[in-house]
Amino acid sequence: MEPCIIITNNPMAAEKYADRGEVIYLADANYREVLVAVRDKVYLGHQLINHPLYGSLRPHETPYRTVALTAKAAPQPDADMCMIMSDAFTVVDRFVLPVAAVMSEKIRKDYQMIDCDLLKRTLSE
Amino acid sequence: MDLELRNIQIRDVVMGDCNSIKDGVLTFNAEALKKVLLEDARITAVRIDLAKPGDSCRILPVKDVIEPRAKLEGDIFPGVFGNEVPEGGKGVTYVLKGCAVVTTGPIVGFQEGLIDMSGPAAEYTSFSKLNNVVLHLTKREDVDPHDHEQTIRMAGLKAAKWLGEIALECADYESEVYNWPPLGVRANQYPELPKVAYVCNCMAQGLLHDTYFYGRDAKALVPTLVSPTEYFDGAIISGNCVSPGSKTTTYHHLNNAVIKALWARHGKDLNFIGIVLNPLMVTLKEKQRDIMLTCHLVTEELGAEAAIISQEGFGNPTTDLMHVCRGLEKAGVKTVIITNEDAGPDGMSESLPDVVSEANAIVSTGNSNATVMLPKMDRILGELKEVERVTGGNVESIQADGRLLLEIHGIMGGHNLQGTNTLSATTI
Repeated sequence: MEPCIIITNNPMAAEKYADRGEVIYLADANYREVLVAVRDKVYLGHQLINHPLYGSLRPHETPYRTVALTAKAAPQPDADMCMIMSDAFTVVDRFVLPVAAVMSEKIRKDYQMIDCDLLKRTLSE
Repeated sequence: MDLELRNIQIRDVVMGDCNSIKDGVLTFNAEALKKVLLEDARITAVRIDLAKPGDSCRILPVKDVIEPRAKLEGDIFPGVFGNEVPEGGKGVTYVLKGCAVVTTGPIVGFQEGLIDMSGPAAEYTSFSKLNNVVLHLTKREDVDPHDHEQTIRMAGLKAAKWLGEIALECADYESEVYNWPPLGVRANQYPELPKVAYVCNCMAQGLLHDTYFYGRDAKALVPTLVSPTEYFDGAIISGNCVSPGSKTTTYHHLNNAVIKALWARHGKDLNFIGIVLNPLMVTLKEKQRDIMLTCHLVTEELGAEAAIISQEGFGNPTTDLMHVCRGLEKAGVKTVIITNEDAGPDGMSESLPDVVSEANAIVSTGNSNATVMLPKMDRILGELKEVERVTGGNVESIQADGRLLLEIHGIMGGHNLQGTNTLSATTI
């Protein structure tokens, strides 16, 4: 696949996908803060590779997000992708976001594993 | 393609020394079933319980619900067992109505939803009206989550097939015959009636977010034409275990409510022209590909004038839903969407994460965030504590007096997006 930027707060994804492109690992960021970093890249012309609300787990359940974007930035931001990000915040802001640090190790690892699994195809294409 | 369903009404299920169906009572040998399930070396123990309509009984966390079925010749759930993949949707299929196999047990830290067999939650799910054979499976310690999910999925299907085969001896059935001629014939069958297609969206994203078509992971599919009778034979299997309320179980696929409704009106006021199974993927490129191909199949191949889209999942799948709708409407295909809403506990929040102006006909299956207080049940099959990690539940769900405060979302099939539920929206 083309070089990409991976923005994540999932330590397992940061490690697993380290060779797939530039990994921006936001260790202390919550779900929303990851999406803010993604949105800023979209505004700079990078294109979303996966949908920011991938998977079925709600933002009040999983604390993790991993989003891949094109490494190359277009001269102009993509209007549809800006809209996708904007809609994502409308969804996320309805939820009280979980804090990974207060979860048990087992639950944290399960969420990290599911997050990696959902992105496996995206990052192997 | 002709399929005869031989429906046998089951009014009670009991465990006994042998297998039989007599006067609507299904008797099965639980030890024999356990032995079959234990053939999978990944399973170390099996417990089987019965949960019947009206029981003070709560099942959680539920993974899948499967209606027992068997083929007179060939395989039910084609492509799932063995190395051969027989064609589904033809011949004779026996169906045990009024009962189901329910698989339960935690796979990962967060869990699936519940089925109450009585009380207010029973009103929200059709599974409370069934005689349920509940399987608790213990895995070998070294089995990882991916294998564990497959183990439970396969055990549920195997049990449903095994129970279904008891029906093969039964002569007391009601016959339903489905005739599905080739597309060229269907297109000319009712020239005066509008051709209506059905787009069945299905999750295809990863562990606990998957669907299987003839045993193949739907992540490896592109949108595909499927016959209604293939649904009835279990060519489409659920591997999706995350959002209980909106989850499409295998039971839902086998009894797809949209297909049943379209069939009932076929030749009367519409011409049911075909079904497109549309996998909902993770990347935007895959989404674009599947949206394009779905629209292509509905418009160019089926030549439909109208379409119904049923949804699965929530969040990113809403993008697929809306963009297929837009594509079809722009091509002149009148399109109706079936989806639930996430409008917050008070119903005041924006209810869909994505919307297009072409989506001007939506059937709502209810607000999944609405909460219900559920009474304490005498019997718990599974782990009550798991409710804290169910979608729609939280650490405050279990009340001091044993009651449960839960969002509708936590009830299995509570707002099923194929419409097998009692909730909808009204204009006030």
